[in-house]
Amino acid sequence: MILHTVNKSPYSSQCLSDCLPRVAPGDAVLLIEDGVYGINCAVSLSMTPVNETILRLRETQVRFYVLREDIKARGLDDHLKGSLFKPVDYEGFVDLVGNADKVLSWY
Amino acid sequence: MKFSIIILGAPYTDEAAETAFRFAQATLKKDHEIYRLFFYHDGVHNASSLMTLPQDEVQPTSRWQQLIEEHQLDAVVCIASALRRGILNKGEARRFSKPADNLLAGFKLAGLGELVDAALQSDKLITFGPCS
Amino acid sequence: MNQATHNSTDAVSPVSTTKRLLVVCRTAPYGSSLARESLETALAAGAMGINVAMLFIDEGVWQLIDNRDAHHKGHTETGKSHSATISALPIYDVGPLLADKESLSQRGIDLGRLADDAEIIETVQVINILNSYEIVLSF
Repeated sequence: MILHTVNKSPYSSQCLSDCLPRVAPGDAVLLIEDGVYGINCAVSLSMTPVNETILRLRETQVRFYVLREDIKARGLDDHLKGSLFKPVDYEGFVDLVGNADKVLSWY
Repeated sequence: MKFSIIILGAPYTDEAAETAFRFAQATLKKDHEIYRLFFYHDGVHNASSLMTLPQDEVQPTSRWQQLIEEHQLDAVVCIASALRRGILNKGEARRFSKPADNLLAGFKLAGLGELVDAALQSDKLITFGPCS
Repeated sequence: MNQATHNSTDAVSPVSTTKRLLVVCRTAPYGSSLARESLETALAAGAMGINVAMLFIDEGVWQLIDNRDAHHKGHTETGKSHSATISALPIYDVGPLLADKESLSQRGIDLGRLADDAEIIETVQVINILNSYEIVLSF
């Protein structure tokens, strides 16, 4: 199982859209830093390839997370409600790394 | 578990160094071992003793230094990346006849073999890539 | 590669391991030093006797355009181009050099222009490759 970290906004960078097609069933995706601006992407980028890929991956037991501190710092707490991305703190981040075979950083 | 952390972003300019620092703290808090911190690419600036921020701001470099000292961490700065970006220890400053050295105590300059070694010896390897 | 006096790949000794390393390259050469530093990492691993492969995807595929005789403004006359370093990788036991077919076609890269040692792989293989190596490092 690979943990994929994404640190750039999907509105300015290809990072997330480059990452998603390389995610295997059972992998995890964690948005960090400006990557957290992607918290709404499965909603607001309606019917884009990113949105479709996320929804499809969710059906293959891929888990999606965001780093809570980076969400809070950017004033996006209210976007967590109903989001497909589950918030984790730094210790949760360490656990995700600990449980993964490998970490692939998309930056 | 043994973790190694690769830092590619400069402090202040780039959030990556901050994220890596917080991650390192959390790793130790969870009783994991940090086998090595490896500073590469613009990450080498984290080892500069000359970085000077206003007093009311967090001093990223001295914070790394404290963490390294407190937990006796192996903090390696890629020598090729460092020299190219003006981070020198006393020996290198002398060798290249430079007017000053600026590698913070606690960090050491070494080659990429240390990165490869960290990748082989650690259970977990994570890279914090630059934001910019 | 330009062997500077402070070469980062020397003074390493061979190690015994069965772990294989995959260096994933996602950045174009020249615009930033990341591409160059990814090659240096692979060369260091090769020099230590590690089984190291490279996977060029997304913007990383630009690194594979064969342009080995060119000189870039960041290098001296004696310094080698990025492409020349790429073509030297097999000499240092770095390989295979895998290139994602879709990344190449999206960018209109003529396969005839690629470095001799580049091995084109189908996009569906990328996930398997990422999973099959024990260690991955992305640049």
